[in-house]
Amino acid sequence: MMEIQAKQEAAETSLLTGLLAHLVPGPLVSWGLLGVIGLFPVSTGQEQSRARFVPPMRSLEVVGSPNYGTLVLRNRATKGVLVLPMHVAFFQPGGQNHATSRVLILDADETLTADDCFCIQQTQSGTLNQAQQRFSMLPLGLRRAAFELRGIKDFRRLWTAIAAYSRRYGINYGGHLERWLRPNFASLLPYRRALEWQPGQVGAAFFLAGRLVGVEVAPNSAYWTEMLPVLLIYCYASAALLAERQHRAPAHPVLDLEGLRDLDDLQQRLAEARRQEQEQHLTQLSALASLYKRARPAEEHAGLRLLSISQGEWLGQVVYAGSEVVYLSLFRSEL
Amino acid sequence: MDKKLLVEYLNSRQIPLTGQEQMLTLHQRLCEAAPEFYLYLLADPFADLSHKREMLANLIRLPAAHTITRQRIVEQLRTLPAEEALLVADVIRQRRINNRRAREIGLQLLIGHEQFPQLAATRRQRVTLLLKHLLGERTWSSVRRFLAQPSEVGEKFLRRELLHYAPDPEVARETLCFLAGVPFNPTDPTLAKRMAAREQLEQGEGLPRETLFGLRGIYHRDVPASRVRSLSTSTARVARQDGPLTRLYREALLQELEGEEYCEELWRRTEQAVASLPLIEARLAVVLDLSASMASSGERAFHPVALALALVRLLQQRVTSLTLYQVGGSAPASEELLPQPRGMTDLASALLEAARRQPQAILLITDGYENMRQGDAALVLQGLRLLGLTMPVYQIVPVYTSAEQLAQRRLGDDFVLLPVQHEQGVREVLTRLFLDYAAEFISPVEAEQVQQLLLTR
Repeated sequence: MMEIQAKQEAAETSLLTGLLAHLVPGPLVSWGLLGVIGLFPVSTGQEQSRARFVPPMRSLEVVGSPNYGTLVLRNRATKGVLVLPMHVAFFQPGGQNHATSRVLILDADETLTADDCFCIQQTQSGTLNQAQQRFSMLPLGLRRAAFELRGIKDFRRLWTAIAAYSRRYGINYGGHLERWLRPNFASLLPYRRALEWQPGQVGAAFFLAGRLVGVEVAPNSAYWTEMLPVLLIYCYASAALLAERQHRAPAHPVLDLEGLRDLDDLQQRLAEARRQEQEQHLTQLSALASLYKRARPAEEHAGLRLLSISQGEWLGQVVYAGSEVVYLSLFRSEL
Repeated sequence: MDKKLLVEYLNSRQIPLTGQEQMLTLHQRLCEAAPEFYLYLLADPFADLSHKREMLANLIRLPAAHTITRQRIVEQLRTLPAEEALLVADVIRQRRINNRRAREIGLQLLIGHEQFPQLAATRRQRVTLLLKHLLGERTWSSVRRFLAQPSEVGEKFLRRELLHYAPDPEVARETLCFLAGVPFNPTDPTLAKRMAAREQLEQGEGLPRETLFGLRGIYHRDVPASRVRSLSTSTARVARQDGPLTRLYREALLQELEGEEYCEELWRRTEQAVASLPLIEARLAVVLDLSASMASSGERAFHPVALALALVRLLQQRVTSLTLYQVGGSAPASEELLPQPRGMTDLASALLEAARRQPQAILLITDGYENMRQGDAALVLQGLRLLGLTMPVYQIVPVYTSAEQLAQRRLGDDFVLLPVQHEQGVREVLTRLFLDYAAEFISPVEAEQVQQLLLTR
């Protein structure tokens, strides 16, 4: 009951527009320095109309990697379009790990060769083998470099950024992302547990110490269910972990207990502190929605339009079906 | 007995003793205050081995415990699994305890144990060293001599010193020959297997991994480690032993069963589970976390929620007044309806609601992933204290292994944190509720009730 009420209150206090016009925000949830506001479709009909977008983990097959920096990908679904999220990575034992540099769109049963991928494993040779994939994502701190280097055909081009990123965690193994991931994985997992998936959710806004750092929207809730753990563990929790190590302070409005009268008073103060925090976060989210005016067309495929956004601190890509946003990945370049 | 002693013991029993003066003193005081009660703690299934070793040492050495006969100590040790009993008894050797009481207890336990041959076959070195210590070097030498060269005098000696403890003197003689390195023809299958494995490692198939690796180190250095692992019993991955209610709830959640499909079985298992639990007079509020994180994933899928539901079920049966407050979940939990874990974790609001009826204690059964907002529950508890509400508030965390790190998931310092790995952990919860309302000094009758709560199975 409380959850539904909180969602209704959130919807009443914030009208999202532009890129997020079809979405309603849920209540803020947080763990450590990472805050998340779930995004839900305005209407239930929206979910049904987007059933043709297949979830990525179940539908994607990494056919292989004929050369470093090239991935051959296939949409296994015989019906349905696959919008492969930007900056997904594939980890597997004994081969070369890769990450994509942009959103890829695959029609039903389509095979696509992407030759502008990043090799993210500098210190070990070998290439991806079929059916050994493990889905992952580039950490938020690496996505700016990955975005700026998209479209360039040099598999080594992210190594310098990975090496610099790993060094911030005290790991000095060059451009080898898994060497950063392995010792930190146990610390990343609690974020996945704590920031729980909610029924009907199709996206989320991510906040680091109270500051909006990313918005991710999926075509439908089945897609989101697959993506949320990947986004949390690999992409956003990594930024939260680093912020905690840098002793950044959380931006909670404090629950003032001075002069507390009774339990009703305590309940009101709790609700007020939460309302204030929700409002602070929603204000940032509303401001972001206007970025749709600055999107540049990048590609058209399977009846979908892919656009790139680069405006001030914000970078990302958006996929439109007609006038509707079906996929969005926006992130702040400076954390 | 001072109540604080018991509470301190409950707080520390799962943490290994590493020689801290404070903990050793606690054991000593417990033993001196209530030696009878202390004896029963030897069988505490949740106590770390190091505590049991300390208990045995105290029961042997402290004058206050000398009212307890050797026989009763041995009987209590025999309630433990054989290997554990051996490890506990080994404290006599390691601490060099040399007296008649120690010797009698050690020999009665070892030689009189039904699994003496198995222990000898799989833990030969430890058993031999303990025997040598208990008998003394000279007596052990004589035992070896008389085993190797049978004589009438020798036979009398063996009977007097050792064989009279044994339920089957012939098997005991065989086992002693094995330990003393005296040639014999084994009739006991484990001893026979152990002997044969010296010649050919494959003959030892089924022996514990450590035993086989020990044999490989001496007799079969060329055998690859992988072969040894394949021959050994799979002790590395012992099957999880969840309680009957936890298992039932987990199956029902995994298979999404309807109420009528498991209800009857639920009642049957509940009745069995509560049969040995006394009823506790208390007015209790329970906040049950059924948020999405309680589902967990992988091999732990639905374990936290199933264990939490089992604990609630047992508490409902064994606490006179209990009010349930649910956080998250696909529906309100009831006998007919099993909600799937879902939604956010607003523990602070539930804690506040629970406090309104001023219960004697509040239990929050949660994994501790408080996400709305992290830290609010601690602030609400602080508020409750400022308003003069002093009831104890427990955070009960259903854990999968005792190694789980809970520092990040602790709701706050004012919560009494109780990790619970098994539904039998309800006993500790009930004991603590009982102690919360007991006087500072516990009467012998109350001590007996605590004993029943903690230890009777």
